[in-house]
Amino acid sequence: MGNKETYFIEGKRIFLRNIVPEDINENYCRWMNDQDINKYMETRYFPHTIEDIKQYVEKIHNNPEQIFLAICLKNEKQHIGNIKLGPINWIHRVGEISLFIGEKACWGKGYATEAIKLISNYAFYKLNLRKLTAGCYANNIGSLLAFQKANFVQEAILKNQYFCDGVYVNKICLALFSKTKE
Amino acid sequence: MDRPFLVGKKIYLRPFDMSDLNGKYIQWINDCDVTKFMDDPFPKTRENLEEYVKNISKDPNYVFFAVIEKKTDKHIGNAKIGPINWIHRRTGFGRMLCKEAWGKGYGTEAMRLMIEYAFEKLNLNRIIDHGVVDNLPSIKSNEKAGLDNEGIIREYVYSNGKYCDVAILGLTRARYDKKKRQGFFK
Repeated sequence: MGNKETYFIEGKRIFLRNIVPEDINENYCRWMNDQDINKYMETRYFPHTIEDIKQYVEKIHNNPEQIFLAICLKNEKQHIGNIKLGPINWIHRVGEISLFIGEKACWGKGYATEAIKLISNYAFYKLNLRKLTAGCYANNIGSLLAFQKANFVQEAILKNQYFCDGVYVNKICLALFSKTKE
Repeated sequence: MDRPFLVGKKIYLRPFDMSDLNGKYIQWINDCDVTKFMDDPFPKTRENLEEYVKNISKDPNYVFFAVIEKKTDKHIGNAKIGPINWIHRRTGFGRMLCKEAWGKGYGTEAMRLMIEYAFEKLNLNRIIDHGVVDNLPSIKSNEKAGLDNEGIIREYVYSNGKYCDVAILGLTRARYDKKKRQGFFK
């Protein structure tokens, strides 16, 4: 249990920690297959078993260019979603952020914003990265607002980049620069 | 030139091939004149070298080169950058030339090529090399290549029967940029 309750990155209401084997359970599997939750996720096209998810997590853990963390509530120690920093390019010093909140009861409470801020600070202050990027489906207002509240700004729009529920939608490219001294 | 990667006036650096192990590398690395100031005092077998090259080639924190003399296209030594720390954005270096290639400025040129590569291609912030103070030619060569003599660590290595001081030769990005503006680097 210790491993699950240790804060790797601590925020006000949430903390981020490594994904542990117990996290890959029926609940996580339910998130990945729920059409409301996976609506804008690149994993949505096919059904997922616990076994698939295990393999995915193992692959990510073996990739030094990806940092994959569980988002957990401090009060209940409950695992509510995941956040990923990666791929990281160490020469350009950039990284991509993506995340989801799997627990629907936790939507609209600012947890995603808090998680983005936490991992951004980690990327800038611990990993010495220079710029972070994120991509949003233009119709994914929740995600767009979460990144904007975490100070990300729009850099570009890629037209009709994604196929989403029968129509093509724009991709909004967001970015945040480090304020640390070069 | 065969697959030149970094090209100087008299030498160039190309990727190291496993077939380079068939040449005289095994002799150089067991030659007490060549290894006099090296950290590792052990004799090397062909298998040791193979293992070393295999490991370093797949390690993303090292870049390993063969040093080639331009006029003869002969393999005359090796050079490496690493270990690179991508968070602190710094690296160390290593190089070794066979005796026949000494005193011609080849080592200085290889070092210069690697310094420019570290700052211009790898976007690092600081580079560092250590040299036993008794190894004057190496220190002079590093200074000629553009590194600053930044200080001494006392009795840092046991070398040839005694504890020896080691000189720190390094360069920060700010100093590199300054020297570049002065025309020292291209």
